[in-house]
Amino acid sequence: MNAPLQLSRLRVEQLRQFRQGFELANLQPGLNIFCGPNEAGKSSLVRAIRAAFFERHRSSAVGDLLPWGDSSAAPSVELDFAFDGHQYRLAKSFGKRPRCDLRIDARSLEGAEAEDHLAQLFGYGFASRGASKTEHWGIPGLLWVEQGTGQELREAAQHAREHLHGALQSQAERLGQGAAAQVAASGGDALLSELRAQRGELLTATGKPRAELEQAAQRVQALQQSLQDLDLQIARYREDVDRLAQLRSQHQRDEQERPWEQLQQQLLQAQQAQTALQQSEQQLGEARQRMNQLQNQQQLLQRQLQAFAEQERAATQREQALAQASEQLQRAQAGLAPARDQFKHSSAQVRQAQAQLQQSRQAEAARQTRQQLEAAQHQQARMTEALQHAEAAQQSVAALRAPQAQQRPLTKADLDTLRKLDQRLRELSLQRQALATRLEFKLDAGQQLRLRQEGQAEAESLAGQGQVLLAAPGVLDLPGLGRLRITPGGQDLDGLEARWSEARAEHAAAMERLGVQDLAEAESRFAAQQEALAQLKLVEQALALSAPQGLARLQQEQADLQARLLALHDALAQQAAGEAATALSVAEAESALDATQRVEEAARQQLGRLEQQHSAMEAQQLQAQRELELARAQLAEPGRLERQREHQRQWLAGEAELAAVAARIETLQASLDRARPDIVQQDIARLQRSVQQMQQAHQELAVQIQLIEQSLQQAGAQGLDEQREQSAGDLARAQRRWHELRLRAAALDLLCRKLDGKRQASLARLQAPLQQHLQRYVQLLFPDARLDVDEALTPGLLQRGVESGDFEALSFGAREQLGLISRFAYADLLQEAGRPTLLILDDALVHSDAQRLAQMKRVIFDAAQRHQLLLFTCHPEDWRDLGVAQRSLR
Amino acid sequence: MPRFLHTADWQIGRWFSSFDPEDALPLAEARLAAVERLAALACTHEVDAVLVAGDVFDAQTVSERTIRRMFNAMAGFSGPWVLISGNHDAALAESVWTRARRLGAVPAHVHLALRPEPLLLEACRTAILPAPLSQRHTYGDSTAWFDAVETPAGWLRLGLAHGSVQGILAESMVDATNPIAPDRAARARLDYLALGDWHGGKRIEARCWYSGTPEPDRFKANDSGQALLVEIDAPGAEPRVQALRTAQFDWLELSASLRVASDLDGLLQRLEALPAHTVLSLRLEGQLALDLHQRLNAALAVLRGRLRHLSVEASALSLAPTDEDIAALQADGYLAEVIAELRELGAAGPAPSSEEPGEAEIAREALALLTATLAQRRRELSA
Repeated sequence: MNAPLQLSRLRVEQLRQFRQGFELANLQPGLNIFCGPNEAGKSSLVRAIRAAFFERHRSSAVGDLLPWGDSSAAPSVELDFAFDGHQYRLAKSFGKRPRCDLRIDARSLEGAEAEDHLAQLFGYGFASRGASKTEHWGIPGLLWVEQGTGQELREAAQHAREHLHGALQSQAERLGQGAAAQVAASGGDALLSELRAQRGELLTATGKPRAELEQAAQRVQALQQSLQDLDLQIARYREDVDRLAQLRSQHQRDEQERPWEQLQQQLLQAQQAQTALQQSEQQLGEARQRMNQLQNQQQLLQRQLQAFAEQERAATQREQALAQASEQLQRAQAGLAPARDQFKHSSAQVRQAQAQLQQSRQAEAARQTRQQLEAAQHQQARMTEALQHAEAAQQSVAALRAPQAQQRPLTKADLDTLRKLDQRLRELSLQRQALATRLEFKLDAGQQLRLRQEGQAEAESLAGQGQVLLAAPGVLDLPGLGRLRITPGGQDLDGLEARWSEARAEHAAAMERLGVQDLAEAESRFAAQQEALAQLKLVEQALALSAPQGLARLQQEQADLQARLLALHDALAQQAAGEAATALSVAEAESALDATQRVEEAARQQLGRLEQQHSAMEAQQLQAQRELELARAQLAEPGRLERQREHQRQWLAGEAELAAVAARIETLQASLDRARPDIVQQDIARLQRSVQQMQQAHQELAVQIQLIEQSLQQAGAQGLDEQREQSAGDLARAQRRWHELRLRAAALDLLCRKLDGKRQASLARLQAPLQQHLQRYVQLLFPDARLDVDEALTPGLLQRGVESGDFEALSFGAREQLGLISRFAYADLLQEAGRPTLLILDDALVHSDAQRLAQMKRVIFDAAQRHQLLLFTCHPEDWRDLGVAQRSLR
Repeated sequence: MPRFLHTADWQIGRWFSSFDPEDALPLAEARLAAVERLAALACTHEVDAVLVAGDVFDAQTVSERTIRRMFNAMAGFSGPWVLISGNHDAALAESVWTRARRLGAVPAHVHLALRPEPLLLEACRTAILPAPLSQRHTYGDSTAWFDAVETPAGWLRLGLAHGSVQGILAESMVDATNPIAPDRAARARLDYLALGDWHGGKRIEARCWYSGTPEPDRFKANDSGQALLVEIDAPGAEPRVQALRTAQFDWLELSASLRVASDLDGLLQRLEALPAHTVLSLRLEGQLALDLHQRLNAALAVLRGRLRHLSVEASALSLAPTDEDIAALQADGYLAEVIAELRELGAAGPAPSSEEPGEAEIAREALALLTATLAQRRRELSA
């Protein structure tokens, strides 16, 4: 193991606030602490050290080194250090006088050569132009911790990895370890990251195509699709062309051959066949109808023939019936004679009994007649006496009534009226005589005159001598002379005359009515009338005693009685004859009669029955006789036989025709069945449709041809084949590009995988020793903890007892602490590999609490046992317990 | 003396899809230019007719512009052009021809002989028997009808067909589509049978020729890029056939195996001698040290700028850094280890041409990348 690097002196001039020279001499191995407040120049010194190593002396990007406001200055840095038994002095100035001198013991290097030598030694790189950046800083970037970046380890570790590899490799080479010779490759990580970037342009992290490669694949796919489409279109186009040719030839063929016409012909035949069949069917119908008629006719004929036969049979039956009836009649007649005898006999007995009864009754009657006769004779004597009395009274009445019957009887009232009228007339007549004109006359004999007075109906003839009182004017005809009108005078004469006439008329009328001449007569007549009436009454009373019912009645009764007497005498005379002949009483005779009558009745009834029977037989026989005659008459009817024969003949003819018609029906039916009209119908429908379809298809063909023609013309206009060729070219190129890209992607992938694999393997070899060094420090900080190193050689998982957590998830302070620890571990590793290690901490651990800081001080102290460590701080009080004198920058 | 220009396989509308568009476009244009040159030759030689034996168009569905430009390119010769359809432009129900006619692009002096019936050219007393293809592939001989057809006595009798003469072209025997009887000219009493389909020029017999394409379109066809001037003194006389150069570009295919510096020197010398109108396909194999590989790439870059087109297939050529190369890279530690492993992997086998990059190929590429990066770094460091 080499002696560790030891920086012994640092001097700066014309650099930032150090316009004048500033020198830190006598730097100690191990820990050196520099303190000063802000702006004291800590950072400027750190920057000076970095510039001395990292920046090319000719760099123009070091303006920040110039003192403020002095662009003409030439910032310079001088460093003395020892390493590996050699003494180094680096003098570098920038700006106006760029220069780099490196003395190694006695050897001198200048410019870039000197710079590259240092870069090689310390393990860092330069920026190709411009200011040096973190990625160029390599190992120092890891070990020189800038203010406030102690926790940011990962990036620095990454930039340092190449140099770590190189450092470790050179160590291995020096130790002659063949296997370890391959643990690293110079520029390997940069190469890998570049290849990865290139791979990333084509593939995703998981190896899926992306960006250009994906687009190329898609383009191939799209072009394949479009080519397929075009091929399809072309194929379709060709099919259509072929189809067009085929359709055209078919259409032409159809035009020439017109195949539907043949079918039309067939159709016509079928239709004709159908017509014929319809006729046959009609004939069949007619034949059936005819058969029906015939059957009816035959039935009729048969019935008639049967009727004929029936008639004949009936005649026979009638004869038989007649014979039977005659026989029955004879039998009835035979039974009749005894019955009659029987009846006669019984009748005689009845008559005898009747005669006996007659005699008995006569005897009885005679006895009664005799009694009656005696009573009648007695009555007659009484009646004759009464009659004599009555007749005498009757004569008296008649005599009395006779005068009265001549005149009207007067009543007392009539007499009084007449008396008054007579009185009045006499008074008026006296007055009239006193006033009236008296015409006295005396006419010659034989002479007469006629006088007509007014108020009189007839003229009064005047003859002889007399006087006429004229109470009213009167006209006196004087024959041959004229007339004399005499008008009585006096003033009241007319009235008086009227009253007198009236009274006289009344008086006359009353006398007239009463039948009297004058009043005296009336008076006498009335008196006589009264006397006669009294006498009559007496006589009428006497008559009523003798003949209460009138004389005529009495006389009649008497006559009747007389007649009866005579009749009784006669009856008695007769009755007396039979009275002696019988000994039977009436009742006995009646009883005997009754018995004989009953016997007779039975015989009579028997006879009646037989006679009735007989007459029925007679009637029956007569009926049978008549029927037989009727039947015979029917049979004997003129023309019947002819008719029967005619019917017979017709029936036979009918049977024959029936058979013929049936045969015809069968034939027709059979032929119809054979011809299958339904199938013919179907044929017609089928053929019609076929014809229609063929014609339609033919037209359709024409339409299709036109359509295809149009479609082809359109398709042809697109220049499909040309398109296809171009498309195929595009595809071929796209495929080529795709293939190239795929190949490139696959190659990049392969490279990345291989390089990565190798790198991982080499890293793994670094991990173990680094882990060891790391652990040493971690346990100073966390006694039970373990910090793992990950693939990037940076702290990974921190385990503290049962807890564990990722480095990146730790607090800022903890990360800073562990970051420093890691850097120390790197330093240990590098030192073991014989590389120079200088640790610079600028204001580190400001975020640590007192307890952690105390632990970290132990860590720092420990690291300082092996490495030179420059610690810049503005908190000198924090670092007093490290056993080192602090050097103030002031 | 009747004189004809026999050409075929113009393949108008052809697009060289594997080329970059900047190369493909001029090559496509060159095909149209070839038609213009044919028209010029026809005028120069005062031919009676130009016979085009099929595959005039490369495809049925070319753009309208292409169709029009093609017919426009024929304007230079106002005599009769007789065109038949080939397998690429078969006279189908709908074809480039029906489109051309529909577009009204066909000039009057251009005869589209799309039906197998004699075409009589009164002026030169010549009957042309065309055998156009009406299907993409036929398995019957489309020239069979020539035998029986009568033509005016004392007239020339020329056949025009597209297909493979049987038994002559081994390559075509495989599918044997569009066959043509080898003795058709004799059997059909033809004075000349003008054939197309074979892109290289070829004489089948004295009266039966393939003209080849006027502008090469592939690397393999021999004697392409020409047209045939056919002179026939009289019916029955043997025709005089003369090839006329029409090509604008030479298509060349080269292969080289590179191992050592002298191999590379030889190749580069040869490449430098190539004329600028070359369309070159270069196939390389072998192994080259780092510096030689870099030299090759530099030379190819120069060549790519000079030639009409250059395509290089170099997947079988691997970079083989020498030990010196590696030393020069100053790769140490595990880098050296990785380089060694990659060299070993890359030497495992030739580059597979499958779609998926093979392990060795990847390793070689990785090595190239690594060395290139290291070299770059070296240069930066030393700069």
